[in-house]
Amino acid sequence: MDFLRKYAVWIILVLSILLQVSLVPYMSVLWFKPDIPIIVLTFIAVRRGSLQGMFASFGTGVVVDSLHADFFGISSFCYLLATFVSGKLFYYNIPMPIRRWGLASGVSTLVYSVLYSFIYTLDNDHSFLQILIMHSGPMFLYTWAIALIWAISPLYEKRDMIRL
Amino acid sequence: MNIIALLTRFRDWIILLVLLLFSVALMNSSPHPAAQVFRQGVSSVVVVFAAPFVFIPNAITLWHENAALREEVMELHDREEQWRDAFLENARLRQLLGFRERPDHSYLAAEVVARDATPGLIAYILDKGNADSVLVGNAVVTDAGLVGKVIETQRHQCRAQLATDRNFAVSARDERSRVDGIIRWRSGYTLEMDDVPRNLDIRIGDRIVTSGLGGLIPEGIPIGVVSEISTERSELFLRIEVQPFVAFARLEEVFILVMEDYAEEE
Repeated sequence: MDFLRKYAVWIILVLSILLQVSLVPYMSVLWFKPDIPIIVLTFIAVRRGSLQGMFASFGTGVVVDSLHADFFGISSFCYLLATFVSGKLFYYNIPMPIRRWGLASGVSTLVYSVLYSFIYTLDNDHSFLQILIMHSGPMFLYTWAIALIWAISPLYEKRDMIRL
Repeated sequence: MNIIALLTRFRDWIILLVLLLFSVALMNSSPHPAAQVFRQGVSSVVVVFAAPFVFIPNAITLWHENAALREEVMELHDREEQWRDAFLENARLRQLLGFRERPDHSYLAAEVVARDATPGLIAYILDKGNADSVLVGNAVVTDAGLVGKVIETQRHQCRAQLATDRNFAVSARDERSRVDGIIRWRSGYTLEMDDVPRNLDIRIGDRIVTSGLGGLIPEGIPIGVVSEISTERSELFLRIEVQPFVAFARLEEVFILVMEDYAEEE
């Protein structure tokens, strides 16, 4: 039990990566897909600080890209910046109120979605506004909704089980 | 101590920068079309930061360059030795065979002063004359090739007949097959090579140069390239059309080939 508590956050991170590359493609609405690892990475960044968040982000990004994406390096780049921002702004080393978590996950997923969509569509002729409306917005809303659903679910109450 | 304190203070930012650079490197190596645009953006940023340091020489590059240049110098020395040997051998053999020595010449820069107004003559007035050792018959050239020859000299001026004049003629040679002929004007800016029997070897694309027969115009001055050859059954000679190398419509500065032997005799 103690082992599980010690490594719970990393186990959850690995599970989120597996989920991202296996189940998420089937969860797409039109062309919008959520990003599950960013939620876990944000959690790590705001509870453990941006330093751990950054290392976790870089590693996760490399793994996700090598398993899944055709644009290698994009995930690690976007995860890094998103978790750095959320870690710097919302670091909170005690059990976090839902409102604060909502804000932190919102900022983090917004930064991630905007960066990811913008870089991924660099070769298109779309304007920044078009990219925001067509790609970043839906991706951000979908991912943030999952982060909030997790926060209001009974699972969130178990967050203190994770040793930090 | 201060540096360590500074590094500790900005630890997160430094690690972020390092990890971002790794990510950018990964993105740069990606074959995705968007990665190409990303690469261009990264390159333009890198260029801005690298520009102030361009003047700093790269020791390794300089070392390689230096080694390559030394090698090249050695090769050129060898080649120069070979040429010198060949030159001396050539001179010796010419002497043995009793050949006349080729007259040396020098290039005298001249400016086109005016176009000659004589009807039926296409010539230019140049700003060099007897005083500069210019003689009737000297070749007038540009870096491209033969322009014409001097037909009249005064003290500080001379008149140069262009190769496009109807009465111009100069002995010429096919550079490849060494077949001799006479270059004359044909029409417009086109020349023709006459007096070449039809059984001799001339091909389209051959370079025509001066043959040096006659003395005042040295051999080897480029004239033009063979552009058309026609053979008619009734004719004994080939009709060879030559496109000149010189752009006659844009002549401003030319060189007069002054023969030093002749000049000294003068």
